[in-house]
Amino acid sequence: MRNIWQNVRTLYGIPRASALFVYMLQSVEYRAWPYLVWFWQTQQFGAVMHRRTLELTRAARFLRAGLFVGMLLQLAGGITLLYLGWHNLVTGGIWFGLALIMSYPLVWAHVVAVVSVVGQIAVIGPREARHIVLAERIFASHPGRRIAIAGSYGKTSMKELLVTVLGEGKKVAATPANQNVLSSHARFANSLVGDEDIVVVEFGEGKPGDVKRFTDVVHPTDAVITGIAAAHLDRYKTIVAAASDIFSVATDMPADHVYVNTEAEEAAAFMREGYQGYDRRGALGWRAQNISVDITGTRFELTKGTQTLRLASQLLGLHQVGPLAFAAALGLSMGLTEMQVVTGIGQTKPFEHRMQPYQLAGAWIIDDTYNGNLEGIRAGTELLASLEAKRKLYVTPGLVEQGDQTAAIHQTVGDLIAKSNPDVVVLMQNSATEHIQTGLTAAGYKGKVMVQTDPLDFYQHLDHFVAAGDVMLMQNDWTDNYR
Amino acid sequence: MQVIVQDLLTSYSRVGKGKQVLILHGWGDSSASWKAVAKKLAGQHEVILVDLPGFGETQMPSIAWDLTDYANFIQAFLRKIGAKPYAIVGHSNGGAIAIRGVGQGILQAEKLVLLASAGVRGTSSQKGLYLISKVGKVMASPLPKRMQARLRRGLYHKAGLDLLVAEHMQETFKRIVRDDVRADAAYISAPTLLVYGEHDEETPVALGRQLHDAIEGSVFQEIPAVGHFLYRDAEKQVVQLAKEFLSA
Amino acid sequence: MKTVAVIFGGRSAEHDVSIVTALSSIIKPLELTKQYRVIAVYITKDGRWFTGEKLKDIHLYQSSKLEEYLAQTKSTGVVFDHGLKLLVPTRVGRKEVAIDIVFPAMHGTYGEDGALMGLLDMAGVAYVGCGVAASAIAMDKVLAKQLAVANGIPVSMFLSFQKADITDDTVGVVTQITAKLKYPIFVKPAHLGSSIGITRVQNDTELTNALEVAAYYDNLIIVEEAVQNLIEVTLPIMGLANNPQPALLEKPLTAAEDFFDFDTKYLQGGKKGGGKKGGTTGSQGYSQIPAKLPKDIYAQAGHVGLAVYTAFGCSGTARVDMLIDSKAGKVYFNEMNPLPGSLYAHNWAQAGVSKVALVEKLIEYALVRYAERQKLATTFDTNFLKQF
Repeated sequence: MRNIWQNVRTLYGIPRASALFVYMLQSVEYRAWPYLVWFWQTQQFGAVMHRRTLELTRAARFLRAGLFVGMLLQLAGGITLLYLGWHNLVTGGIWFGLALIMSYPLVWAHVVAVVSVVGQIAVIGPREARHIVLAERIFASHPGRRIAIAGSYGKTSMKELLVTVLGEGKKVAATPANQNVLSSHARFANSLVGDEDIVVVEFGEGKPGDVKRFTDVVHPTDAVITGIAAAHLDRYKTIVAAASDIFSVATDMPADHVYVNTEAEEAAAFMREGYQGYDRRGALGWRAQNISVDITGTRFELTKGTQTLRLASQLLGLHQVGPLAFAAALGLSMGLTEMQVVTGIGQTKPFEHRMQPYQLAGAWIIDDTYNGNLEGIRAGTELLASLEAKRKLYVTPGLVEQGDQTAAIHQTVGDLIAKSNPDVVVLMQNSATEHIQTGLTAAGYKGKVMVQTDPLDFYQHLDHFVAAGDVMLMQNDWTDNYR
Repeated sequence: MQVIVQDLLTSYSRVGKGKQVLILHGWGDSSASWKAVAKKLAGQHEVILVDLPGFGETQMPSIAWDLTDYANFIQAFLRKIGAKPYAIVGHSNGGAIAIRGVGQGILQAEKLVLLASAGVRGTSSQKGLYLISKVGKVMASPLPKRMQARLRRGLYHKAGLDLLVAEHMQETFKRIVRDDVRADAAYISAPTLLVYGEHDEETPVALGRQLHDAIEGSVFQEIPAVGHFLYRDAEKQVVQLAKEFLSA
Repeated sequence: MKTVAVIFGGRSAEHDVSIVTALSSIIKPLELTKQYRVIAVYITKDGRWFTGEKLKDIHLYQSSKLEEYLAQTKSTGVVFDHGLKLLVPTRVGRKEVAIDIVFPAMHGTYGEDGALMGLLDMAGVAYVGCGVAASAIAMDKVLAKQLAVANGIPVSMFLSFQKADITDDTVGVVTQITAKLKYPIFVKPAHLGSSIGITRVQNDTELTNALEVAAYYDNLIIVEEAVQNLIEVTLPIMGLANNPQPALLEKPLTAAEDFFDFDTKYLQGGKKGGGKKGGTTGSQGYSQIPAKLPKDIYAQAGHVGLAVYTAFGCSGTARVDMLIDSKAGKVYFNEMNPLPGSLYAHNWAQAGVSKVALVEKLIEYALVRYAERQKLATTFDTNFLKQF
C-alpha cells in the first residue's frame, strides 16, 4: 500500500518524474529497449535515483524540459476537458479529461523513449557518420603501429598495461578510459598528432559485427585478443558468435601480429597457424618462472636463452602473469631496453575497481567491482584461494547479460567460489542468487552464505563486515537497471 | 576533581606550582574554557579553576543566589581544599563576585585581575533588558508551553540577554543583574588590574572606567579590537598583562 | 526470522554512552546480517520504555527532536507470557510482539548491574551477556575484589566503608585508612561505572574531601592503594564461561594526567585529535592495541583477565581492567565491565572479529546458554501443598 502511494507521488510529481525518466534513460545510455524493460520492472520508483544523481548534459536538459512541458500540457488539457465536460460543453469530456490526467506519466515515459530513438537516428547518427569517415582516413595514413585490443574481458587492463610499459621508451597514444566504440574512436583519431610510435585502440564489442566495423575504420597493424568468454550474450546469443566477431580483427594482418591470450580454453579453439599465444607460462618466446603472488602484487622472472628479467608488478593474480609477460616481451621486441621494461612493469598497478586492493578496518579489500564476466570470477577466486588470510570473504551479485545461459553460468560461479573456499560468501538478492547457491551446494560449500537485500546499505557498511586479518574480494556490482 | 561545598558537588582543578591564583569564570561560562590560560600561568603559579554553582560540572544552588552567596561559596570552597590564593582573576560575572568578596572581606587576595568585569548596574540599557524579560513573559503566557519558550528565546536573543546561555539559572540571573558592586569596589585596597575589550558590548569600556574610578590605585588597560571574551580572543595579551601584573 | 530487542538508554549516568553502543555496535551490525528482525527499545532517563524505527537514528538523540518524538509516541509495555513480549503501540491500541532474544546495551545502573538481567530471567527469555550474579558483582567494586581475592587473583590493597561510617566519624575513617594504606590512594563509590566520583588523593585533607564526594554518590565506598609505576590495560573477552576467548590487550593512551576521568573516558572518545603513533580511536579515545608490553607481562595479564572472567561466571562478553606495576612486573585486577562501551568493537576488529561477526557470536552464546538453562530442572512436582 505504501509502495503504491510512493510510486504515485514519484510518477505524478511532474518535476520529479521528468528527472527520473531522463535519469533512467541516461543510465542505459539512451537505449530505448533496456530503458523500457527497466521501467516496467521497477517496483519502487522512489528508490531508483538513490545511487547517483542525474548528470545534466545538454541532451538530458533538453529531454527533461521537454518532458516537463509535455506532462504539464497533458495535465492542463485533461483539466480543461474535465471542466468542459462537467459543464456539458464537451460530450464525454469528463472521461477523456480523467484519462489524460491519469495517464500522463505513463504516456510521457514512453514518448521520451521514442524521442531518444528518433534523436539518435536523425541527429546524432549522421553527425557521427561524418566523423567516422574522417577518422578512417586519419588511421589509414598514420605512420605508427596501430594495436587493436579486442576480447570479452581484460581489454582496458591490457590497454593500460601497454601504455605503461611501451610508454617507457616510445610515444604511445591510447583511447581514453571506457571509450571503446566507434564514436569515441572517431574522437580519438581527431586527437592524434601523427608522430606517435604506437596507437592503442580498445574495441568494445556489444553486438554482432561490431569488431568488423571497428577494424574497417581503425585498420590495425597488430591485434591483441585478451580472451573469450560469455559476455553480451543477449545480443551475440552464443560464445562462438562472439568469438568469431572478435577474431575478425585479425583478418587483414600478418598472422604473427596477432597475439592471443591462451590462458582460457575458449580462445585456444580459435587459434590459427602463426598466431602468437601468451599465458602464465610466457609470451613471444620468453618463459615466465618463479611466480609469486600476494596482496601487494605479482612477481616473476622472464627468461629467454641467457637473458633473465626480474619483474614485479602491483597487479594482483596469477592471471596477470600472461598479459605482463606479453607486454614486456612486446616492449623488448620493439626495442625497449631491459631497464625500461623492468621500470614499466614496476609501474603497472590496478586501476579503480579492478582487482584493486585497499585496506579497511585492518582488513584487505580487493575491489573488483568493474569485473563482469566468468573469466574475471575465475581469476578472482583463484587469487582469493592463493592468498594468506585469517578469514576470507567473497562478495558478488553475480553476472549480468548472460542470456539463456544465466542458470548454467551462475552455477559455475558458485562452483568457482566454493573451490576458493572462503569463510563467508555474501550474495545480493537478485535473479542470479539461487543459481549461485545451487552451484555452491553442488560443490559442497560448507561456509557461511549471507544474502543481502540492500546492496547499497551493504557497501556503505563494509567496515562492519571485516576485521584485521580478513581478505574480502568484491566482484562485479550490478547497476540499478539489473535486478 | 570534585569536592562537596555547601552541599553542592563542586568540580575544580589545580595546575602548576607557585603562588596560588584563583580564576572565577563568567556567566554561562565554565572553567573548561579557561584551560589554555591556566596552562600558561601554571609556569609561575598554582592555578585553581572552579566551576561556579550552576555552571560547568558544579551543581546548581537550590535557591536563587546573589553575588554575596557566590562569594561565600568561594570562601567555603577555598577553606575546604585548603587553599589561600595570592591573587584572584575574575572575568565578567566572576569579576563581580571577586569585587563583592574582596570588598566585603569575604575573600582575601593580595592582587586582583578583573577582566571585562561586570557589577556596575542600573544603566538604562540593562533596565531595558530586565523590562523586556518581564514583558516577554507576560506576553507569552497565554500561548502553549513550547511556543512560549521559543518566543521568549527569540525575545531574549533580540535583547542580547545572557539568560539565553543559562536558562536554568533564571532566578539567580535576575538577582545578580540587580546586584551592584560599586560600593564594594570602594573598599578594595589590593592592587587591581582592570582589562576591557574595545568592542565589548556586554561590559563596555565605559563601565570598566567606572570601576577603575571606584577602586583606588587600580590600573586600567584597554585591548583594541576585541569584545567581551578577551581572554579567548586576545589570549596572548591577556596572559602577558596578567603575568606582568602578578609578578610585579 | 528471530526477533531481537536491543535495550538501551536507561536510568544511568551512562545513558548517552549506551545509545552510542546500541546504535553503532549492535543494531546496525545486527540488521546487516539480515538474519534478525531488530527492535530498538529505548529507556528514557526517567525509566519509560519506547520502541520504534526512528529510535535507530542517532540524529534523533543529537537534537531536541527526541523530546518531541517521545511526546508524540505512546510508551511500550512489557508482558511475561511464555517468554518476553513487548506491547508495542499502534494507531488503535497495542500489539504484542514476541521477543526471541534480548540484547542489553545498557551501561551502569539499572541495566549493566544485573537489574535488567533479573527481569529477563523472570521473563524466561534468551539474552546476550553476563547473567544477574556476574553483572551485580561486577558493578560492586568491593564484592568484585573480594571475589577476585577468594579466587587467588591479585588486587591492590583496599578497604571499604559505609556512607554512615564516613558521615558519623570522618576523622576515624581517615585514621583507619592511613594506618593500613599508603598514599597515593584512590577513593571510589563502589557501584558507579566510568570514573564518576573517583578521586586520587595524596594527603589527609584531600582524602577527607574525596570520602565526602564518594559518599555523595554511593552508600558504599572503596578506598584502595594506588599501584606504583602504573600501566593500565584492559582486555575484552567473549565466550561461554568454560571457553572464554580474549581479544587484544589494550592500553589507553589518553590522559597524561593522573588518571582518566569521565571526560577523557567518554566525551573525548568521539573527537578526532592529533593521533599518537600506533594509536587507534576507540570508545576511550586513543589507545594502543595490542599494548606494547614485555611478553611475560602481556601473557600474565591475559591469564589474569581470563581467570577473572571464569571466576565471575561470565558468559557473552566482558572487559577486564587491570593495573600493572611495570617495575615489579605484577598485574592486579582492577574492575570488570560486563558490557563494555560499544562492545569494544574497535579492539575486536583488530583481533580479527568484525562488528557483524561480533554480534552474531554474542547471539550464538546467548542461545547456547539459554538452551542449557532450559535443560536444568527448576520446578519439582511435590505433594507439599496436599499435605498441608
